[in-house]
Amino acid sequence: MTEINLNVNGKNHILFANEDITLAKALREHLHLTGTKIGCQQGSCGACTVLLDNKAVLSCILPAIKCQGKKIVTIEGLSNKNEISRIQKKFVEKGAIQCGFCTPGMVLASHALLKSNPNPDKEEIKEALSGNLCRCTGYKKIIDAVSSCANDSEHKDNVLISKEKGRYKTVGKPAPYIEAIKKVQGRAEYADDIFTGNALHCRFLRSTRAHAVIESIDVAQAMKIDGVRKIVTGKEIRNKFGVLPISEDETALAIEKTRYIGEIVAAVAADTAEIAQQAIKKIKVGYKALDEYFDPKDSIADLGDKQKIHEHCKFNNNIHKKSELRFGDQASAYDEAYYKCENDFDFQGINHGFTEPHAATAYWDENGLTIISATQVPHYLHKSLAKVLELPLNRIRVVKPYLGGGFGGKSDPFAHEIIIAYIAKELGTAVRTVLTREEVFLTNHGRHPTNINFKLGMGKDLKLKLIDTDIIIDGGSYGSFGVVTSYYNGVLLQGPYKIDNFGFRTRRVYTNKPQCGAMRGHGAVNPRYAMETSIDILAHQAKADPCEIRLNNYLEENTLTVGEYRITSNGSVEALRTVMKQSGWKNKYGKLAYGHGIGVASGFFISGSALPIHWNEYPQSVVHLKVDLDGRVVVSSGASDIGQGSDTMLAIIVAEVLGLSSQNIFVQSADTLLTPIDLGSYSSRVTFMAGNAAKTAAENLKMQIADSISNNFGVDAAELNFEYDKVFSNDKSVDLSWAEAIEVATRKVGALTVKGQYNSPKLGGDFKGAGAGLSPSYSFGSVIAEVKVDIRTGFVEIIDIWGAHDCGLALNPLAVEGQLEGSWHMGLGQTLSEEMRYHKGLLLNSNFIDYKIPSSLDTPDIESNIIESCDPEGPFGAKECGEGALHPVIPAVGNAIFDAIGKRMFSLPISPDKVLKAMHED
Amino acid sequence: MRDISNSVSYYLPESIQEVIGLTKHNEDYSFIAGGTDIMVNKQQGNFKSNCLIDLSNIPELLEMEVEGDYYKIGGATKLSGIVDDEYIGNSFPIVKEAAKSIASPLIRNQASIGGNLLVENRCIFYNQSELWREAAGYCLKCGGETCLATGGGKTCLSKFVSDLAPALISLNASIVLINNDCERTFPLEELYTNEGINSKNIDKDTILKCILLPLRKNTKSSFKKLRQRKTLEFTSLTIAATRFDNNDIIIAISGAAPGPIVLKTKKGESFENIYSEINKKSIIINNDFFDRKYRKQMLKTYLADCLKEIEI
Repeated sequence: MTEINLNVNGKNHILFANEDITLAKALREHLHLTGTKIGCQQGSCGACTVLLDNKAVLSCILPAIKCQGKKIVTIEGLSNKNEISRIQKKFVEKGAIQCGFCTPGMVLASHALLKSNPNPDKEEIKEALSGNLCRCTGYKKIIDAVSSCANDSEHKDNVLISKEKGRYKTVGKPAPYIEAIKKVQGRAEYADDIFTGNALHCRFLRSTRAHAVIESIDVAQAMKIDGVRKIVTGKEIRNKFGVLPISEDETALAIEKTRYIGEIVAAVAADTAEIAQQAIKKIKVGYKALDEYFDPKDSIADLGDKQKIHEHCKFNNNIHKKSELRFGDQASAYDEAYYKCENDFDFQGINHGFTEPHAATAYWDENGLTIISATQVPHYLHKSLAKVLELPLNRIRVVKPYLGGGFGGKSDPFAHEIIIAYIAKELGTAVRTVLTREEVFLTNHGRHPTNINFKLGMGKDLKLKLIDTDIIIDGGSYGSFGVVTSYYNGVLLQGPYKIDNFGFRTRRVYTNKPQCGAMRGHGAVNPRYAMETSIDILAHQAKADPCEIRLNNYLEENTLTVGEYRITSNGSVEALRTVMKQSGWKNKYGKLAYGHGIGVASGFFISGSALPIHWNEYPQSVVHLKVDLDGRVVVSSGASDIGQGSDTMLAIIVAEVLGLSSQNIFVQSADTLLTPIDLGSYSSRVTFMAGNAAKTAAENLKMQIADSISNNFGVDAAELNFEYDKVFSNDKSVDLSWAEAIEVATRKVGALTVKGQYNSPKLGGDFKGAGAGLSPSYSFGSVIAEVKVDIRTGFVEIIDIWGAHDCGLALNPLAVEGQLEGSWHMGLGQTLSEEMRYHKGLLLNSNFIDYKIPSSLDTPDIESNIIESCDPEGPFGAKECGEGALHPVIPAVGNAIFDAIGKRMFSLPISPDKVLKAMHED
Repeated sequence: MRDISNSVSYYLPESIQEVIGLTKHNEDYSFIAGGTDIMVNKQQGNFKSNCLIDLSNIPELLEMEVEGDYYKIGGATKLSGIVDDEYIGNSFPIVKEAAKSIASPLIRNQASIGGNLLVENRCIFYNQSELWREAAGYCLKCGGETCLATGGGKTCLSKFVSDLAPALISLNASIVLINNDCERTFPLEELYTNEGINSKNIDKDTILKCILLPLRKNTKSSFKKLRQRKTLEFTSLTIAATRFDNNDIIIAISGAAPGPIVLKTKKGESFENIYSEINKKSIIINNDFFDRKYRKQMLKTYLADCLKEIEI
């Protein structure tokens, strides 16, 4: 231990710490300046950026001792209590902040750039920010924010405004997130920023064997280390869990055997993380090897005498779930099809890549267990903890703090959450943990590696006749959302085109790798690539424009699909026509020089699942509103804002209905003790379901207030208007400020409390599997991509992306654009550079240098278009925008590459070596 | 039982004399400057030293100026300092280009030129966590008995990944080392052993004081780097080539062998001969995220592009 003197944000601090303590750790743990985030611990994500003598540096790989005598500025030093700096203001205004976890680093890197170069151009901005990864925004709005600071002249406001803007006061107008200022100041607390007094630190011993019997675990040496308070092994927590009640196959720690390298075998809670880590090294585990399965094909075959990964698999193989649905006659339709193709596609696993690692703190007190965790679905964690720990629900409270990106990867209940909750309960103390980036990758639950055989047929009339596809998805070691994924791979092919002969079979298999689950665009992303590529192939066979083929085959509004999905609003045609026009499609398609191409694809997605995972009759979403004499309407919802802006969405809806400004709204969300149950933030359900519940609640509140005023003043309630923070009658005989109106409405009854709920209508057919993919509404969209292929190296440069997405109605266009741009950016990563690569069950790239999320320099210009089809059942017409946009971008690029070089890319990612190989093939 | 294996001494000397004193009073020490690689390797358990001697505050190691017939760059000079140095930009543009190609702007504000020249060789089977390496069975570079990349080889073929070394070698740079008050100057390329495990010819107590770039007029240089994204990544292949006024040509390559591949030739030599010589020296195996075949293809492609740019 040594004394380290640091000057941080103009103040001198003396701290005693290990001599090699990193600056990030010193700032966070000694000075409690938690605006500095730790995302990777390897200097490759930029979340920990601080200024050192005005230069942006990475505090997670910088020894604090080196910083003595220098001026350190953290995000907390960039603004004072009352005023944020210009760059921070622009980040807020431009919607450059979503989850906010990268924001402090991004703002500081931008600040340093502007100090040294007050007028950077776009390329200079991209270069300066190329060490700061953002997984949410696609960088576009971040670059806009920096550009708008660069130029003195007022920057053009590019944000689209809803076409419906004239109709509403709040809905349809671009609004920064209600928490954006907190995030841009580094004051928003994420799970690892909350320091509960005297919390023990928990670290995990992870399996080094992919499939092995645990013969012994010796913790004796580890227990002797001072500061070790508890060591847990699998036998202590035997109850199984899993996000789907039909597929609970996981235990918090491996018990009899391990099923993947990285699985938790033991956990140590100690006074410090370092002590816990030292103890981990002293635990000795004896393993006996079992046959390992890494290739899904080995898991599908009969296993002979070899041991299955899970005993519950029905047959002598590792197939977890087989899903199959068939409509019409695919075989005859294929025979009769005038244009047809059959191809094999392969896709690698994709990780969510959220910048905030999993983190949680659990504590036990007179109220039972409380866990503060980075979770997308507090409700499922609540249920899982109750089941595994055998506690009644009323002894558990789950709180979601600010959350640094999820994309599906924080929707399951996780082993680490259960383990720390168990230790907290056993010891009656607080226990915290944060995973390393490698552990985040090993925890995974990402997009399944997939093999697809895909047949598509089309008539001479250019009408699509059939889809027949056989799909194998590699689920890894446990179930997660896999049963749903297996269905989504097939059923979500029944749009956006009308197809009468439709069949799929998906087999999800277990392998000895980290488990796969739900990721943005759940289950439908890879088959969408196969589908849209196949349409392009048939377009070439027919010498027809692939856009025209799509326009010729889209489902209509107010129709049923072959599997009886109810299609209501449908903006497919407008979306495609918009990007065709904007991209100059007609002048480019088939007309660009060799190596230069343009491609198109479409997609569609659900706005939440109509059927819940847990079969009960509780509504999908419930929202409570409370208003007391202070006039502030408290919106209480169990929905998790994971950076997508759902808290802001709820505020906008309530403000619109009640005619209030934001000062009169306060959103409280995602706390199972205080907020009503919501099924969480996944499957793009929150805007539609929680939004509708909020709208109903606000309407109920409005009615109650109107009735009171009507009774008090003798005016007809129908004559009353709620606008401009006022309640007034048409003839102005009643003209009350909001506070006055509330004073009247609360007389004798006190605070007003109302609720609204959302139940999906009964939908779908009555055949087995009819429920998969049912949604009260669907989103639609298209993307056109223009690329240049370096024919000597195989590198693909994306020149531009034009995307259009039908989100029903943009409640908050700034947030909708952010979702679309982020989706397209994430899709481009899977297209060109991202893949989870394994060597004998060992993940080779569990870090942000080798797992290649596109940086600012790798991300092209993106042109966003919001299409508004005004859904009849969505809140104010809104439907999903957070996932569906991702689907078409990948095949659009693949098809553009074909247009450029005449070669089909059947394997993702489309890395330069694959392109070059394809070019050298006949 | 108290575990003290975590305790590390960290020194920040301000003169070379002070460094020499520290090396005499400590045993298990290592030098550190920017620390951007060491801190990551340390976290992964690939770097173990209980005493770090930081060289970044020593004025002699931070000098950057013309000295006689050379341009001198202090060993602890930050990469961003090289990118921003006008003289380098004008006289040795490939040095600027090479420096700018390294990692990210944030890392370049921390990392030093000396650190880049002495960067530890890399391999996708070695640059992994302790958990990973234990699970995989340790490779040669971390004390194991076989090479995982080749599936059983007995020679470590980890990749040399410095981007500045090829640029500087192609410009015929020398380095100055200090050991116990004794200075030695020799060509940069001699710093490297071409071995995967002990990849540098430098004793533990030796400091890389500075790099000397000869001031030559009318040179023409080219620099190419292969990586999937335009930032962050270590090189999969870096080629630098310089043609001097007397038509001497120096080509230097990293990412294709355990050390830099260096070829000295003359204008007029055929591309096929040059490529054949370089190809013979290359040892490209599957230890990178780009496969062996593609990197071999790119070796030829990038070499052709470089030589075209320097008009041989």
